[in-house]
Amino acid sequence: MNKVYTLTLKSATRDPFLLLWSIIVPVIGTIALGYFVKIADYPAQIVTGMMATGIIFYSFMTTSHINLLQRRRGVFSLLKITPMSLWRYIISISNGWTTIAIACGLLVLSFGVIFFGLNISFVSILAMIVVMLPTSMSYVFLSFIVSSFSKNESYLSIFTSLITYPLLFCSNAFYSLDNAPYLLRTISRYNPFERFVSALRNAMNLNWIDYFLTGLFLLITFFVLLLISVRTFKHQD
Amino acid sequence: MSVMMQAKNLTKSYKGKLAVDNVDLEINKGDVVALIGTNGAGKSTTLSMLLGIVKPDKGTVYRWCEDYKSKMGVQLQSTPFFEGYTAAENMELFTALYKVDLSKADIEKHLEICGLSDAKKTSTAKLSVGQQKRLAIAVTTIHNPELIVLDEPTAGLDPRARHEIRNMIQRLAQEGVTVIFSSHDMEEVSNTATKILIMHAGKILEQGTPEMLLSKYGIDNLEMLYLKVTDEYEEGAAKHE
Repeated sequence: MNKVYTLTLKSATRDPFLLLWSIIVPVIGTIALGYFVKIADYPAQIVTGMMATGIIFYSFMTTSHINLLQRRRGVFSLLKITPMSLWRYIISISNGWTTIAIACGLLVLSFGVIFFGLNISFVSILAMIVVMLPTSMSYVFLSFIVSSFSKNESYLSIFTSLITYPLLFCSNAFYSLDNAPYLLRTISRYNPFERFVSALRNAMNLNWIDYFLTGLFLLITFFVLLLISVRTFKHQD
Repeated sequence: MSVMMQAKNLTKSYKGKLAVDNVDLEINKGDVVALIGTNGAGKSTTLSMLLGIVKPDKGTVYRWCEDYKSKMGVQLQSTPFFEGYTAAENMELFTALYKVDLSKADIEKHLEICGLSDAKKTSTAKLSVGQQKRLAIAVTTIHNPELIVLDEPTAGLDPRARHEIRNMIQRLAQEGVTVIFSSHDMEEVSNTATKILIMHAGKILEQGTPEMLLSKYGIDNLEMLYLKVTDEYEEGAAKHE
């Protein structure tokens, strides 16, 4: 199990999608927007927004493509007939992908601290990791679900884009929705990505009540996606 | 001779279409069994049911031991390599899947035996089709299995690569490993198999040693034997209709 986890981490270091979408884009986006958008507290907002963006890009979009390839190559079928159970393998790779996603988030945060001098306590960082853990894993579960009903890469790209971009744009990740139409604000309230961004900001600002409320919402999302992803594997049996 | 696997009345349909129809077969220890037939004959579905990947609609499969998963090496039709991993990393991953403890030196030795030592740091996506197949077969042997199942191991390969795969199968057979492989390459079958199963339209039409079947039909090569057996079946089926 540890070997699967270690190899997942090792292979991720060579993944060009990870490098581009979860490291380069969020880091450059954070630095550029943080410098050019002259709004009070914007650096802190864009850092958390880009952390969340890098995480969803890796743990949902990138892993969806890896999952589809593994399904098409018969990896999951093969795992039914090896001594290692399918579930142990899935837990190991999910843990590996979650670790990488959290590392990407922390990398963006560290650039924010270096470039904008954000003052973040150790407790805030711990609280962020606590919320990144179930959220990243939720996205990994979502990637199992989406890859299970995508016939090929083209369909998968459409589905992942149709899910990711509305989640991003109906959130306060890059801009404030305070002046947006009522409908959009209502949607954003139930948007798990917005809840994630909000939880990161609450952790950063030590707003514990809001942090726990958004955390609870994310935990419920985690369990719902876990149940659905388990069903996709059982359905394929 | 001890029985490794035995299937009785195996039947499987997909969306109302019969893929495998009441298949009975027996594989004994030390056999090199070739399952031959055209695309869509039901070979892969039969193998998947034997292995336990696909549940049969009807019928039973007997396997020689309860812990058969750790004593069996399987190469599916698509090469199940892990994206972004090198040849050596893929092999390392399979040691985890088969729960064997091999050192880096052991893994390199395995790669060398398969003629892949130069490609150990190459991503599997960049390996040639022949190298991928050799690696796929190599990973089936890392845990010293008693049975190896190969689904069309030489499909899509050039003559040299086919020759290398055949040599690998023969070497495994000499080591006492029981091998089951599906194929529609009669040359491969005649060079390696000790027992053949002719499959057509989801049914096993004939099974036995190549010599026995050739003499039964009075034919001197497997290709003609296959054509004769399947043609006779088609004629019989047409008359029946």
